[in-house]
Amino acid sequence: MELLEKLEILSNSAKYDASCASSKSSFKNNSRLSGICHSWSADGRCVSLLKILLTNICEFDCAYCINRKSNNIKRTAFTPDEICLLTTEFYKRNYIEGLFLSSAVMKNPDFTMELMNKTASKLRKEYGFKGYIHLKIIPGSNEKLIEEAIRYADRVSVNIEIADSKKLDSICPDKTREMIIKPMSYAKDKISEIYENKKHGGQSTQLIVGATEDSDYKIMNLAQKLYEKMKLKRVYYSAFININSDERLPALNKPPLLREHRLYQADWLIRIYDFKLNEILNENENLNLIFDPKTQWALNNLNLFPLEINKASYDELIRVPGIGIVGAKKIIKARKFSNLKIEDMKKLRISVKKAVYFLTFNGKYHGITTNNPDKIKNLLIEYKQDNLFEDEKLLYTTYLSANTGEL
Amino acid sequence: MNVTYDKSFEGYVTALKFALEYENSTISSEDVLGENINIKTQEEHDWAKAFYVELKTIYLSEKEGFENIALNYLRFVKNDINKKNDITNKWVNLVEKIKKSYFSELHRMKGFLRFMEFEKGSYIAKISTENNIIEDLGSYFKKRMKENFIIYDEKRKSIFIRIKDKSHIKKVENLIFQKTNEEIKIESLWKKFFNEIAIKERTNEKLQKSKVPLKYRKTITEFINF
Repeated sequence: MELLEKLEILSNSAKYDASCASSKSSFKNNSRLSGICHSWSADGRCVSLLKILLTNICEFDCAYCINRKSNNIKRTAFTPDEICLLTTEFYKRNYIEGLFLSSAVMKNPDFTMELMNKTASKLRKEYGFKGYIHLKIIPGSNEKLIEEAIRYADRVSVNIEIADSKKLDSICPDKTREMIIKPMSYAKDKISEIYENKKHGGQSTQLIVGATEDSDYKIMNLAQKLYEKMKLKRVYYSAFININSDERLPALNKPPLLREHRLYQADWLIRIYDFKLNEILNENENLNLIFDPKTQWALNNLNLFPLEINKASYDELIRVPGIGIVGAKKIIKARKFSNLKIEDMKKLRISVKKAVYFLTFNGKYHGITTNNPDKIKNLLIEYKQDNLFEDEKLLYTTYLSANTGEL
Repeated sequence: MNVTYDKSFEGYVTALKFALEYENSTISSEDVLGENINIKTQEEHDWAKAFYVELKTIYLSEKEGFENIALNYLRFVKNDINKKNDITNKWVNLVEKIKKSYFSELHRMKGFLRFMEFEKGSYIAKISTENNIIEDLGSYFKKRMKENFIIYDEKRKSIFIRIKDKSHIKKVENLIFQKTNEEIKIESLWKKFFNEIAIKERTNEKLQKSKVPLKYRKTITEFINF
């Protein structure tokens, strides 16, 4: 088979894996931490890595997967040299930062993992490649192979996919939770042993959203545990698409993209903004699709607001809807020189459309005075940031109870 | 009084030092109406060390009247370096904006620049940017790759050329080159990959457009002849 056709098959079947981060590339030149994105595909997802499968020949039969054994599709496999050629040629032309190599399970997990390692080793040693390498750990592969993968790769990941381990049996009859958690836990120990400085190395995982009835609470609860106990760098969330029309899985007209977006926002709040899960979600609850989780939190805690912008601490400021890490830092810098007024926000390039209900400026409040959160909700709805997800018409809902009072 | 200089970065820094001595002075590269003083470029710029990044970025932004932006900025911050953080001040604010525009564009182009092979083992890329970023961009790629390359700035008719360990920038009139056969093959592989990687059920061209603005697409391989 021609290389072009192989690439067509093995990139098409790799596309469902969420991946973006490449900021911890071993090639480092600038002090900026943000990774470099080279392009964005028609679905608006960032393209920074050559994301391909080593093979789509699979012994497993997972209900959600395009490559499952029972699907009648064209099958093929790359040779290690073909992958090295594509990676280095694409890298030289500045198409990509590196390689994201995943695979179906050919013969058995160890056989596949060994081939992936062989590819990574060749790429580093024979081709002298210094870019970024991400390797998927094949569930069930042995410890020696996992250690080897960690040494070649900047990051590794084992995909959990299904948050509820009891449902895993029916959806993925060949996989057990143990086959996933054991390598992950082993990788955690090895990574901290090999990369003491912590800047390099690391692992991530992916959870499918909407394939089971698991609530956002259940998903985020798992994510929080993974960050704490498995020291994961990232958890990715992937809106479920029922490609196989499998009866074990729900028939969705469209992937739940806004829900996926909300999960990423909640994930950010936990990872970067120091929120605890129970501040954002009650047990078995789903995230509000109308408001982002920080706004929702603030609406539930109106008693904490408004805060005086010239006095609030950094930790308080980053909890104000519409103010992020960068904004809070700018505010703290600028207020050393003068008391900030609402007009100054424009100069700082901080939007106050949301924040205005939660802040005072020099004692002056520019929002509305109310104890009824619904009134603020109505005003906030008019300003919606999520218009990139046009599928969700429910954004136009109004809070009728608030309409009786004056706005 | 207006101070004129020879358009070089060193000349501009010299002019700044000179103009700062006078309250109502201005700077430009050409003579303006009224009194003009042409200064001789000096090489010694230790006094400007603390503002180097700002002054250089303002210069490279090539914004109209950038010399006077730098001059007013210096008048405000030079006696108290902490004032660089007073971002509600008009001049500090403007300079922050210029810096942001410069560094965002530089960062963006580290991703968007596309090389093509024009002879075995040598690569060329074409850029057309708002800010004059070729020097910073060139040094970035010098570290990123070991191959010889040329970056051609279409707007400014200049090239950054790297051969082995050496590199320099020079002016060019026109640049004509041809892709190698290998290049045509690799490009078609890349375009194939780029097409396949998008998930149809998630198509969102509005999002894609906000990430890859149309003005940059004319030099990005995967968006050409699609």
